[in-house]
Amino acid sequence: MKHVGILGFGGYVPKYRISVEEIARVWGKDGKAISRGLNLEEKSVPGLDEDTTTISVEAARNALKCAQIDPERIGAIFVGSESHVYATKPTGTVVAEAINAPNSIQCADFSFACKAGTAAIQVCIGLVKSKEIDVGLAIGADTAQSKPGDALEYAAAAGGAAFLLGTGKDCIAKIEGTYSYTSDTPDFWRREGTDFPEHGSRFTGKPAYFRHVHQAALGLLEKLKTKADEYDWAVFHSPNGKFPRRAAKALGIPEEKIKPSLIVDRIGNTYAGSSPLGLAATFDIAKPGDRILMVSYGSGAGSDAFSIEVLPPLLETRERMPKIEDYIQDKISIDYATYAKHRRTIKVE
Amino acid sequence: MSDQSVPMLWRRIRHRYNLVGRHCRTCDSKYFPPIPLCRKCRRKSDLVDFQFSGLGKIYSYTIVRDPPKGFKALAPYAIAMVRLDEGPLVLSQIVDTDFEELKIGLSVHVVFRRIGDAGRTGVLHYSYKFKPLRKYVTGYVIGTVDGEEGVQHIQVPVEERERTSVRRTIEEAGEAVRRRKSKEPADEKSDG
Repeated sequence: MKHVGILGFGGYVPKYRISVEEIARVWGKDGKAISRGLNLEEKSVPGLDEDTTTISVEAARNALKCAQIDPERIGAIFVGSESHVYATKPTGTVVAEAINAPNSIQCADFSFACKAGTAAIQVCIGLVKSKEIDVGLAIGADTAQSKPGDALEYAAAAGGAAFLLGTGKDCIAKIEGTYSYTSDTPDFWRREGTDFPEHGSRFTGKPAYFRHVHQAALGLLEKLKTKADEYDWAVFHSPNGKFPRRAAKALGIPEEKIKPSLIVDRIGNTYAGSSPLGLAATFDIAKPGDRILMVSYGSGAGSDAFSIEVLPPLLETRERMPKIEDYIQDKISIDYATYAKHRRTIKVE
Repeated sequence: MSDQSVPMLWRRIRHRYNLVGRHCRTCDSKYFPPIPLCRKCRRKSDLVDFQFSGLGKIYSYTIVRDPPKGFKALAPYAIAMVRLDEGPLVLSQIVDTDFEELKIGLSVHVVFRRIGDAGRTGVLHYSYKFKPLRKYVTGYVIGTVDGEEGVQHIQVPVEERERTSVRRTIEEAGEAVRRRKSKEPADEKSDG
């Protein structure tokens, strides 16, 4: 068997936005300074009736529109998120029913902070490669939680992307290889039964995000005997607008190569949806032959690095569903009170 | 929503998630929600499951500002009767709209949303809702589920959908009323 590839992709970003300045106003902070410091203008907010499940379904439906494959071919559905709506019932069960997938599927929810979506992609690659399944559906989606008034509140956003992994001439991209780097680094966590995550403030930077992202990227380059400058585009997990820029710079990747994936500036950190949405946004502009380096990051901590080559079918298939940019531009701005209602921090019967 | 039993919810999953109704192969009528017998053909019914495209137009709408219990967080919200492209009328909330754009005849498409829950510890209810159709929404899945055609993928010509004026929709409504009064059978389409 040749390489496993991506048969289709699709993303979804909720319509509501709140600006960093509006959040800062409520907490008496300097909004302009925070916005500049985080490289962040506004973030996406889920609708009152939206959650990780509905975002996953919309993204998966877009991926199916893109690939135009029979859902019966799907053999596995894995949804990665840190805001699954149930503690025990998998989000994938609802997604499967909503996209007419067969009952004979492997299904489980994945958790690994913000890299649960890329972990799902890796498992699908393994299952397709071993011929255990024909097509696998991997989704990274979140309606990110953050404590009101916490630094995370400026960025914690909502969105997700789905990828259909398979083989054959219809693939829109080829997965050249992946490499993961994992360690016990408690930089961010949410304990069972609690509503909001806690974090180690500045500790989330150098020993956590940057160490894992760099090690995974360097490990992949060494494994595949490639160099960073051989890639046309790069996608890094984006907890804010600052970290991915700094990560790219340290690897010698110029900012214009990460620009298509820097949607964080306008929609915030979509947690498990972050690097998957960044990849989807890059697919929206890439051309056949382009190579993409993607590195996710999940607190706790770990990174998955992917080397991806764009194939000719992408040009036709990506016109079949909305682009990530379409979702970003189609927005309604809300104030903090409405935001609090949307995030259910105001309890209403 | 919260008074619904889990088995009752489970039975509705199939048609709620994917707008699966019924198609009578005898008279070509389409129904949503699913019904056990074709209203026209009765014992000659030949019903199969049918997945609607999820595309339609607002037939009538209102804004709910004084909601019933369980919907307070959503208020104010729009609900509308949506005329599906294949014929049936469906009552649904219209989401992601600032209300200004709402009008009779507006093209809408189906989205997957949460419609309620059985309290903080209960099961979650998901279903269809509708959203104004944007130019970038390009494709939808349509086809019979149990019938011979199988699920097909179609490209939706958005320009065609936007050509329909309010006037035409009102004329259609008038025609339906006239037919009902004179008891003429509707051609091809049913009110579901």
